[in-house]
Amino acid sequence: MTEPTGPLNSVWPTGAHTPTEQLVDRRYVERSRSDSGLMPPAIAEYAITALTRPGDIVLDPDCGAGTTIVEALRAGRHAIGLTNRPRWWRIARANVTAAKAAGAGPDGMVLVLNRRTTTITAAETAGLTGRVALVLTTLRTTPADADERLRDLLAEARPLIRPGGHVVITSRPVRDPITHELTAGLHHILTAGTAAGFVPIARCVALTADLLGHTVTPHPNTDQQRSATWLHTFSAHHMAVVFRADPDAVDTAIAVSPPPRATTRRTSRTGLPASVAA
Amino acid sequence: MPSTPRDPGLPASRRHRTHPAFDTRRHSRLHRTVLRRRSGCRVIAPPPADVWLHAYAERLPGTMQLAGWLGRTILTLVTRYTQPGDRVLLLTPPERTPFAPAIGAHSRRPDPYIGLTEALWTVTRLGRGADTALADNVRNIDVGQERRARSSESASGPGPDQLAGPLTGRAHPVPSCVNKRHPSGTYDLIISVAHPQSTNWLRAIGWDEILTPSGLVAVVTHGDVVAGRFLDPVPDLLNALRNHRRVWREHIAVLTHPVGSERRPRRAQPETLETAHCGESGPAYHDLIVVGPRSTEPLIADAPARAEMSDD
Repeated sequence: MTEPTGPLNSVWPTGAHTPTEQLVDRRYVERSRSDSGLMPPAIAEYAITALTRPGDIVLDPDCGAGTTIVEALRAGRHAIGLTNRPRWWRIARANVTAAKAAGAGPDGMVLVLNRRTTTITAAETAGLTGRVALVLTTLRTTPADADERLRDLLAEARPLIRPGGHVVITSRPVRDPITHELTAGLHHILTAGTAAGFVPIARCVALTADLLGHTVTPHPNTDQQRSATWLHTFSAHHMAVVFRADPDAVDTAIAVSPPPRATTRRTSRTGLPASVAA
Repeated sequence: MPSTPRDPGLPASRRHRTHPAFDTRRHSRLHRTVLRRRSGCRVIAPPPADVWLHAYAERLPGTMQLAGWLGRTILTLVTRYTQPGDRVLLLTPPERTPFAPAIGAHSRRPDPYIGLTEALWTVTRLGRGADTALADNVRNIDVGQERRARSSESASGPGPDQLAGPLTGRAHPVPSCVNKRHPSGTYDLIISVAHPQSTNWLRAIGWDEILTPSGLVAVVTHGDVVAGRFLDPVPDLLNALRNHRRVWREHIAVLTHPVGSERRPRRAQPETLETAHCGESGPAYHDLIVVGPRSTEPLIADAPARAEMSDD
């Protein structure tokens, strides 16, 4: 499939429909709506299509309900999702199953692993070192541990990213419930990405509101409607910070080879051979 | 500017700023401002968003260099965060602030923030006390010291107009009623701009001295790409503006270019990634950072005042 190419826009028109509408239209399982921190499918689709080619591998080290994984499959990419929450693991697996049943990524490889210290080892054993084209995730952590947690995630995923690969981390405005002060999510992203050895190359506005003529029409979510006053503005965008792995880094990865084919050997629930699954 | 009749919904006793916990109208689920146009038709305005689409904004009347989007941004800030009688300061960066265009294939781009002070007349017409100042003049003055020096010279003490002088490059007449509300020459809203490679001057400003206790600082800036690396001025800007009294209240994306209508993106070529943010015509969006008091009090002016003319 030949895709058109062009410059990466710094404003992404991804707000034509609300995240809930996107989940319904794209046939995600209903339980996905319980993931309050999920990346809207349109934003995930935009980043994946803009920064990867069909057949590339997309990794989300904190996948939640799995929108990044599903959108990668729908776009013809391979996908890996990691989560340390059994609840999200079940929902993400259900979404992946539904997407594949609908015809998405028939040859895709999907691993959704319990995120423990051995999972990166498992991924490396599966031949993924230096082969991931895009790490795509959203900042989910509370302000108290945002920097440290995100730094750990990126540090663990670092060996898997190929030279010249990209990292995209999105964040939504988060406010203190009492003082309505914005939290410094953007600062955490830049600090963590730079500390992990990635170079920031862009910060993009991913719209979550529709543009009607010359007006931005936000879609206030339930929480915003419940608490909204004229204290502050409604959120109409997420920020997407784009990093790049050093393209000149020594490639220590295993030589590029086709992804492992699905085997008929009995596997565990995680999709990996029982000896590898966490 | 077209004037919009005030919505008489709230009784006079409640038109002042109140804590939202006691104002049930503000807790209505949809929170829509009802505007009554001259024709009598009721129009429900959309809630304010943190994205302002000013790509199609025309230049303000009487301006020549001020970009239409920047003029519109100033107008929206003033109508949304102040009321008639408030004082607004347009603060320009120091004259020696370097403005370097992106290194690369682009030719020299014009300064996107030129002409900031041209908005003075428009702000004054809105009934605000408007002043302009150069940052060099502001940061070298200790307003408290100035006040004490003047009081030692005159037994009657300094007047507000005298205090306003040193802080302004061009002082404009301010109604006496405004002076009484701002006896120390402080401002309710300070609007400024900062180029991405020069934000250090913001640290030298004594913001506490020139802001009212509920005053806001709004700074327009943008990211840039230098030698293939994205330069983000927002963290440095926040470090310069925030303290124990002032916190980060808003981060608004001001769109200055029409947004593409294609929903499905094109795959980006590697050599174009670095240049996507700042094209030859400038950034596609600017960051508007609003810093204000650490308070649960409303940030945005009352709904009737907000119905002046902003449609963002």
